[in-house]
Amino acid sequence: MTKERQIAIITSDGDRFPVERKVAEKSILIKNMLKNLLPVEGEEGEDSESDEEDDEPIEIPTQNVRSAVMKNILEWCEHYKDINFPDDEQDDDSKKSAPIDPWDSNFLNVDQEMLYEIILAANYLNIKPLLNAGCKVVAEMIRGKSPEEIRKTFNIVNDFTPEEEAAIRRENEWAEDR
Amino acid sequence: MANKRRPKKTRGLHYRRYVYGPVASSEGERLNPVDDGLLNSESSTSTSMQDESPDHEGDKSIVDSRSFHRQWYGEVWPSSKFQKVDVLGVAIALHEGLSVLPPWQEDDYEKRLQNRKIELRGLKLPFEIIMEIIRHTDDSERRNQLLICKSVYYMLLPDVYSYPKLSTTNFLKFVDVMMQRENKRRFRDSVKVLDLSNLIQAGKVSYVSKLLKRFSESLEVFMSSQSSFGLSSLVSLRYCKRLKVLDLNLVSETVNLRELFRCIHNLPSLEQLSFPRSSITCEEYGMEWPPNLWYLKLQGGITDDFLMNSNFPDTITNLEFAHCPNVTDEGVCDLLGRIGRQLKRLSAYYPMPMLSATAFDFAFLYCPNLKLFYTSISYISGDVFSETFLPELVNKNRPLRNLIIDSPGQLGQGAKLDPDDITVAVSEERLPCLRSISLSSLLGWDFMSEPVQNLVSELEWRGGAVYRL
Repeated sequence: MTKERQIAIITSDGDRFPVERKVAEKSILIKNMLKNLLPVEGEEGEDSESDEEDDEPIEIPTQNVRSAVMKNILEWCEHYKDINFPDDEQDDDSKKSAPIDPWDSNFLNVDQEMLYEIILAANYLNIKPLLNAGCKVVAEMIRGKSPEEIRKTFNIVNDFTPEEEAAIRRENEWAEDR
Repeated sequence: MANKRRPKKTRGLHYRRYVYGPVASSEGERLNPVDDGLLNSESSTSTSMQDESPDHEGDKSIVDSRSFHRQWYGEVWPSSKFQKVDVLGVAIALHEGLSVLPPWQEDDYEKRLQNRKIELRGLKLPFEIIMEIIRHTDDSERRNQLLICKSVYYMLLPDVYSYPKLSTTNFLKFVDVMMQRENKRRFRDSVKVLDLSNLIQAGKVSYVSKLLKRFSESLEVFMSSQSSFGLSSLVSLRYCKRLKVLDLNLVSETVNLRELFRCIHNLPSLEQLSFPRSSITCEEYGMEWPPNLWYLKLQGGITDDFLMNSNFPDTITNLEFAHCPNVTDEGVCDLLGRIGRQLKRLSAYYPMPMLSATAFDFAFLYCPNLKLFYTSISYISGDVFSETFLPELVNKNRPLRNLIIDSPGQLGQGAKLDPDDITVAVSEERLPCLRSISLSSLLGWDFMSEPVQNLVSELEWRGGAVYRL
């Protein structure tokens, strides 16, 4: 049996990150890519054709991710490489109520810019658990804040006129004390 | 000097006013001769100065008619009679090259400029991720979050309105919002669960009926309030095609079952039905049942006649008895004898005064497929676990998993049943699937005593457990 082919992730600014397959496969995007490029040995018997180019490492370009962000992402993947996350969608309530893993919350204790970039990258690379953890951290940030503050957090533009805003406040008065 | 350009008022004018388009032009041509004097006298002077050749006679008449038409056009068919354009203001502004925007739009422009700045300021998350984050926050913050921006508002609106928490204090406000004309379309079919069980007085009967009508396309669960469920509400129910759960438990008015069934028999998704617990009237029994009903809670003034003569559908797998003051052993036995085989869950709640102390002793005999049996100690005795009433099934294991024995707490009730009765039934493999027994503390049993402990160890040995309610 030949030794496992190397995998390298190329970031948008041209840096190269050699990674283990197990680590890279935390990203569903990369996992699916690898499944097409390089079937797991024993699973499918088609590796005879790719035998001659075995030594070349597979390069995976990630156009949307900076190397600083990728470093963080890979650190996360490395930490969780031996843990299998359930693939199926849990029901929303249990997902929401589960508290953030302390390691995750420590890991995501970065400035907002970086946090956003990690979330974006996790979304692009399709790493559900990381995306979820990131969402939870931001959700914690906006808890109990006024709409104005939330808008600032997300750089959202307020497109309500003052009259519309007052009307919405009025129409939802019934839901006030719950 | 008199204004010569003003057309002479003639009698036909009123009738011409409302003519438009190609018809108008032909009309104009046709009418031309009528106004001949006026038009010719005016235009002939102007045209005769430019061109006097007789060849243009025909053209002239067309031009005349067009100018006539054009002159009247704006007045005959303007876009709005009240339209006012400040032509002078705009013209002057343009001429001076100051500002193209009219003053009333300047604020708007200013604001848009500011928003643009906000957008450019920093990294922005995609909208779907923002929504994902917002959904990770607590439900109680939704109301505040509605005000973030329009897109978020429309995304969150169903969340806030699908299950409104209504109580006596906010019900009228809620109805007000829903009934406002401008809200009609926005909130139509937004509510999925309408729970009025916390209301004591729902205002007018018509409110409930109106709400039901408003949400007829979306409503899945309806729990009635304590008062007022009139005929109009019943009729409105007929249109709630998605209704799955209809709980009339708390209704205190007399409900006519025939009317009720007439309204609900064609609801395709209705799965759970609870009768009103205070009173119902019913004279005939050949009613059509909703096709997919599996949960039925029998309550209120139903009689033995009803139980014996109605054709209960074979979709029912969950049957509950509660608050049935007129039902006797005879009715229960007859009903269980007929539909007992299809039941998976059977419950009998206290109080049902006409039932005897052993009314449900036959339950296991009649219902071999039960998975859950809930009963008050008032309606069973130790016999229910005896070999006569709980025989081993011939070719399969009795599927009963959960057994719940409640007690109203009357003195001496606990003595009707001995823990050993259950232990024996379990150890004789007559209840092979039993995993959980819940016993009310009101039974008065000493849970540390030997019989109960024997039961506990017997069940634990089989991988089950005994719980204390």
